[in-house]
Amino acid sequence: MPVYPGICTFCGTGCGHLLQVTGSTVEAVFPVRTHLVSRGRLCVRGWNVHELLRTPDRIVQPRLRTAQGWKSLTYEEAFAWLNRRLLDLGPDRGDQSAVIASPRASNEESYLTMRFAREVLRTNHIAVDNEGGHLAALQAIWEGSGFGAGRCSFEWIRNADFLLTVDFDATRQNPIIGSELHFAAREGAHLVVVDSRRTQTARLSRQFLQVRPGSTDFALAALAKHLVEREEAAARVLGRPGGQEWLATLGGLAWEQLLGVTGLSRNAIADTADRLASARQALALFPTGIFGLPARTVRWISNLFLTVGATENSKSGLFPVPGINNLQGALDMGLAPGLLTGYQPLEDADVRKQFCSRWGVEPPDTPGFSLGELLEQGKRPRLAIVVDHDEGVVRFGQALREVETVVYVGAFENPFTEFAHLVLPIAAYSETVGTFTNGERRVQISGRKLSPPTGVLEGWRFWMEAAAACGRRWPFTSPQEVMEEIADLTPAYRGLSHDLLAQTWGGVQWPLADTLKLREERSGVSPKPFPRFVALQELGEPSSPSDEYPFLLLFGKSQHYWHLNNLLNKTFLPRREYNALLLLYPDGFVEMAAEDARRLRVRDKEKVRIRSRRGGMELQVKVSDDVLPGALYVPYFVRDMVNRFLLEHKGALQRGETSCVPVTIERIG
Amino acid sequence: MYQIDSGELKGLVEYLRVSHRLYGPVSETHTHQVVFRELAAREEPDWKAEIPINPIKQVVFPHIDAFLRYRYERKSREVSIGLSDPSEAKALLGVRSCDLEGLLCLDRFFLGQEFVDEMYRRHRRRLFIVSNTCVRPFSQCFCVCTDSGPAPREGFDLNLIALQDGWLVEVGSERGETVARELGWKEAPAEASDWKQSIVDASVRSFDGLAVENKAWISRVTNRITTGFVREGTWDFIGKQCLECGACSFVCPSCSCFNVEDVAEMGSDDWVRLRCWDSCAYEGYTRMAGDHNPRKPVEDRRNKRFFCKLSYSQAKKYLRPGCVGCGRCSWVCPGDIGLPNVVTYIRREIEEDAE
Repeated sequence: MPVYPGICTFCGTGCGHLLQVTGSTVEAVFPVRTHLVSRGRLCVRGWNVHELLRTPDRIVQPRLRTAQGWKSLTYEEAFAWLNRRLLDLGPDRGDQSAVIASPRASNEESYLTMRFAREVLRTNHIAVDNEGGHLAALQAIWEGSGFGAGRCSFEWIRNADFLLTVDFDATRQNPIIGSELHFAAREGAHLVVVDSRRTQTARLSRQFLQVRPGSTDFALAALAKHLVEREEAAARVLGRPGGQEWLATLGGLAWEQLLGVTGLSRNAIADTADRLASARQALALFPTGIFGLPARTVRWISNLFLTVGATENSKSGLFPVPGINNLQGALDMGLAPGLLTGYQPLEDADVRKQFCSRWGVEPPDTPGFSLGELLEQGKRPRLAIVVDHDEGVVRFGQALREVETVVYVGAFENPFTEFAHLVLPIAAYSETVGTFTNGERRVQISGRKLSPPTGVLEGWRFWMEAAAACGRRWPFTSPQEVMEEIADLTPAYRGLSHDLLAQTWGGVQWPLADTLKLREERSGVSPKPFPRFVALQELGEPSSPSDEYPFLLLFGKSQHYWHLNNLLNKTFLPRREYNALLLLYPDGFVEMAAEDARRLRVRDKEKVRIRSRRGGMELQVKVSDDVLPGALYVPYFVRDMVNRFLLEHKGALQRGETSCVPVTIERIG
Repeated sequence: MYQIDSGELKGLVEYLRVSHRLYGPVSETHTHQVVFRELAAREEPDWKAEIPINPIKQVVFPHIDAFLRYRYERKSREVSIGLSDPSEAKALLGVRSCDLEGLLCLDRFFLGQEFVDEMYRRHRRRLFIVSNTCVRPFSQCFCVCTDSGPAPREGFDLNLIALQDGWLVEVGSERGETVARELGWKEAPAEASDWKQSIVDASVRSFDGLAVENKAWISRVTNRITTGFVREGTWDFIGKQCLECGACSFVCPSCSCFNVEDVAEMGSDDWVRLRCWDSCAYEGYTRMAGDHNPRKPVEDRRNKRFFCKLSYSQAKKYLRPGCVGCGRCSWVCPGDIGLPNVVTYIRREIEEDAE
């Protein structure tokens, strides 16, 4: 029974594991002590990944929806069908098609998906499913630092003496990063948690700033305001670009309002801010993805850290943590409406020319939109290709049904196939060779450990054959050659190759050469001096309860209810855990402070109706001391909420807005 | 006792290979992680390897064990059921004392009580065990605290003790004796048992200098855990650090809990019943019908684990403490509450009470 090293497929931490394989079955998984990130640890998801990998719930044959139901096809027939659809679209195909790519696919597969979209479909309507706020967060970081990605390393966490997490349920979303935070705190780091809900990380922290829902930005502003009220800090701020505006912004804020809105004490603010000011190495960690931080909050953190001069040179800075294993890599591969690989802007003619030299055709030059944005604008592209769907577009339910042709590509069965006309199988990550990029830009190779189910194509071959059927021949004979093309066209990935990665267990972080300034270099405009204070929108009115809607509703997820649970539902133990929760709360639950439950005269497990201005849902009460009076928390897995409630709030919640929703709550019966 | 050279040790491996599937510790090429797994043809175990990341229990109690296959024929309305028979002869090579003690705990759990677990019995029936005395401890070891090493006392067929040059071989069973005779090994000189004793003594003495990561003075906490007098605050402190990953149970040589699932097999009409490792760290593990969960809060689940490993009532079942001192739980725990740390926290509490 051989064991093969690989990289876990769940979250963006990028833990190493060993899979034990007999024939066509993954028998077991083991952690690896020599892995730089995970150092012998795995979370509950990682420990049960072999259960997912042996699920019978796989897509193994292309199938087409017909009036008589599903009809099985060969790949050849399916690709020919797809090509006929493309020909139907005519010269306008670029605007009539959209692609939602997978944040789980390898870099090689992501790159080929991007190439297929731009070269074959001629579209820039490309986005990563569940991309949420990651791209927006990277953009916000770039505005302040000139570097189009988080620049930190996970290993900095243990050496930091000041750690700030913002709305980050670390031990649930990225448990091994949560573990790193815990180890650092045990070794003396000052761990500060800013959150509206008392998470495990909050319980393990040195200081928990439990803010009222929706007031995170106000708390960050308060920390900064305390700092600049000292002369030497203010002088330092003025010495940097954007400093004057930053001081003016903070000067315009009244302490009374900041404390009132957040519910924090002046002392707590002062203590945290002073510790940040005296820190040797300070890191701010926050989640990105569907419920990650909005870009505006990232800008507040960016300015706060620059106020104390905490930049990457001192192994300090901002750390966006992606919730899905290759979300970072998928964006690195140019799966964005306006970017090519390595965040090179699509508008740059020189860049497009380089791609033309490899592709034989230039990528289309007008930035597009994500499928979600198109649907929201009322547009209905005629063709949508969705890869490995987790959650993003299902929210658009009805609108999606109005798209003429929906193609679904995936390894595992998924409720999303309900929307699809053509369903195409692809090999799982353990059945192909590919590289994955975690949240610290660590590119790691994961080898092929077993064969895909009979006849199922590996991703790189899948995209190649699809392109060939549509008249574009690609020259690759292996994923390795795909990486050669990526490295050639992408300054950030220059120097990377499968040979290099195969020699280095634990991978390497891009860029290999630290001289790279990414977009700044390429944008053609005169580079701004960095780091700089970013211009901020006004804080505006905080979401505040009213007489009609007296509660503020928060959302979140956990280790057992993770995204839409499509993957965890195919395991045994994590599914059992999820079901155990559902047995207690079959309709899902809303967490509420005991004080509020008493006032409303509702008991644990009692069913209630939540209403906002735009929608409503019914679920059960879970009395909890993790939320403040006046706040409510609903876990994301509640089907009613995903299907109906969020649909009504898609405007407020798109692109990673964690903003909370004012609601009222009523007893039923 | 016999004395052999490294060529004869190779001979032992080849001799066993003829009639056994071989298992042993191997360092994985890319990661250098030591795992205990089945050896490929011509592959040798790494006799010097550190403690593998997985306990040897995996051979007799696999992570996932598809032990029953069944099929329902609609037309004939017949059901066919087949139980797997994994009782082929297996030789486990290079087994460390802690892992062997863990296996003996599992024997007592699965075979030594009123109910005999048939699947375990089949896996276990024809094992030939070659243990390997730890002539020096590894940094995470604390078997001297749990009375399970560095030399095994029972349960092996052959036990190796590395000399400067060559090996002493202790015989632990008739089958072991037969193998030794068939291979024509030379008897060790009379003073060999003194050599062994001084090697083991030296190993025990070197724990202070080499096994520096963990200490677990478990006898000091057994009383308090058994009687349930550990302070609630101490369990809270431990429980709030638990990330509920289950790793401690999975790597523990003596953890025996499992879950049963029926799964359709891909591409066939067969169904498979399998059992997989389970963990008391999970909330769903103790949930009962009717919503009752005696151990719902995480700190209750944590204290269940340590009760199982360290209490006198459990020790009566295993005929020894449930912890065998391998130190794996401190490697894998994301909450830094491996068993040695827990013992430390309870000891600290005892000392505080004494003051």
